[in-house]
Amino acid sequence: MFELPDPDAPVVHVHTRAHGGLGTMSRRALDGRVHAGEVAPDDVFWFPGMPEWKEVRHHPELFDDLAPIGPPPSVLSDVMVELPGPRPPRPIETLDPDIIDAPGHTVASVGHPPSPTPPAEVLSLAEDPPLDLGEEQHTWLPDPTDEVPRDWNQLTPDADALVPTDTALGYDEESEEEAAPAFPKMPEDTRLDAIFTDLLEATWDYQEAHEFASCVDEVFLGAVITSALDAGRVLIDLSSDGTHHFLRFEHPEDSSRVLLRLTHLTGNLTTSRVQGHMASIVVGYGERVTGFGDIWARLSSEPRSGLVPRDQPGALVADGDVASQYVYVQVRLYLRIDDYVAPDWSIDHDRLRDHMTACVRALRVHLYGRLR
Amino acid sequence: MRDLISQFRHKADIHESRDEIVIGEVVRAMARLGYPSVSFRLQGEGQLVQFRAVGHPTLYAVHVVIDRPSGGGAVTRAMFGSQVTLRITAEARSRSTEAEALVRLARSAPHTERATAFNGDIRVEREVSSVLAHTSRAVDLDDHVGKGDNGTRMLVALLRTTIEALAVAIGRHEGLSD
Repeated sequence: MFELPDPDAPVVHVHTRAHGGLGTMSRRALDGRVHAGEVAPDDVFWFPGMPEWKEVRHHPELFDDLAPIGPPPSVLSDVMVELPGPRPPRPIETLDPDIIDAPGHTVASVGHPPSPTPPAEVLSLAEDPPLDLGEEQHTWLPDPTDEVPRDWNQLTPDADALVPTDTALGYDEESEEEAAPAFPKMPEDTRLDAIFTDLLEATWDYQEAHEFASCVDEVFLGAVITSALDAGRVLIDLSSDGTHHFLRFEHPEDSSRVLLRLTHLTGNLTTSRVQGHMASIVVGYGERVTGFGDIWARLSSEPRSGLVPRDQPGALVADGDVASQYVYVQVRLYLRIDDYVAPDWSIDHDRLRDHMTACVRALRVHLYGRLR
Repeated sequence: MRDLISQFRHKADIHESRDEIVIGEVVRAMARLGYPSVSFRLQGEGQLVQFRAVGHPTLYAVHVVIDRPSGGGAVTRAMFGSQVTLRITAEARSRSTEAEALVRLARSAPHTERATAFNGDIRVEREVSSVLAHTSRAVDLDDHVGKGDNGTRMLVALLRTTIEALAVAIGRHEGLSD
């Protein structure tokens, strides 16, 4: 145990939950602050020679050699020694009925007289009506010498800590036995914990934005699948090469097929914030045809100088798949994914279905024209 | 155009696309529940599709793996009347910043809930800052494919029931519900 400083040596550093650091003071002054409710039992103190900050409630010896401010400090000492364990309930019938009935009095008091300069609100509380004393309230007896009954629960936000009930502390016999001791927490730790919390929350915010930016193409892909299935098609192929997503749908009734290649053009957060979420999408519509050989020959004989890119955006191009005997027409478009997928992940399915239907219809009309 | 067509040449028949058909139906059913797809990728022998559990009070994501059975001789037969196994995982992510809470969560032990009439075994475990609840469901394609709105509604109901069972299991594990 550490050696106590002189009762009047102003070397005790005190830090409270409610008001932060109070600076240095003597043990006697600290005693007065405790009695005034300005320092709660679970606030911490430190003075030279101590290895670490300690909670006031665990060190009644701080005040044992001091002349009592009011009644003997034994009551407060009892409180401090007994916390934080569960306090056995005091039968309500053992209370002095005169004290219970006193206006403004609450049994939930440490029973000490007011400090020499009590806060104004302490005195005003004398006018408050008595608290309802439920049978399950576990309280301490007030000191019968009290001249000005006070409700300590209302002195500070942490006043409960002065007169805790088993319920307020969340203790029960089982949890007390099972609970491991908490990691010691110093006053500075509260500030550091708040900083860490801010860092975590900023990380999650960024992660959320980044995740949306990087996977919005796959949200769109799922929306396209939903749209195609709603149009009566089934998904028969799904693949990705890391850059492009490929989808193929077939209509079970007429065997027509829709091909789709989706390329996310703004896959990182910075680019997407500047341009929005853009995608290049190639949509193809195809049908299995009879006389494929003739059609294939005709398509192959079309001029191909090599000067004009066949996949230029907006151009409708016809081609055939010899293996499956399908003839396709395709078009490449640029789409704003933002038009379909909102930042809150909601999807405008109706709009997408409309746009996909319009594309497929245009391609189908073109295919019929080419096959005629 | 050639590039696009050649992507799909390896399959010429719809009957060879059983897994993809199921994926499509699952994606649509999840969209009905309000959960958008966020990732498509192969995982082992199956296809993994991840969904964001938008608006769910507990869950962050739902992961569905469509098991791809090995061997290709029975694909056509499998297309009609065969069952496909969905491995479904619900994920809840901790957003606690309290040091004590984080320690308590990290020390929680995995547990398994026994199968009920409507769900297979549910196994709950913690991984990094997530809690995962896993289960499997057998889906008969005949019940859902080519059955119009009824087929979709049945799949939506199956997924909703399963996901909620997983969410409840996670809640129990984390002490969030009874």
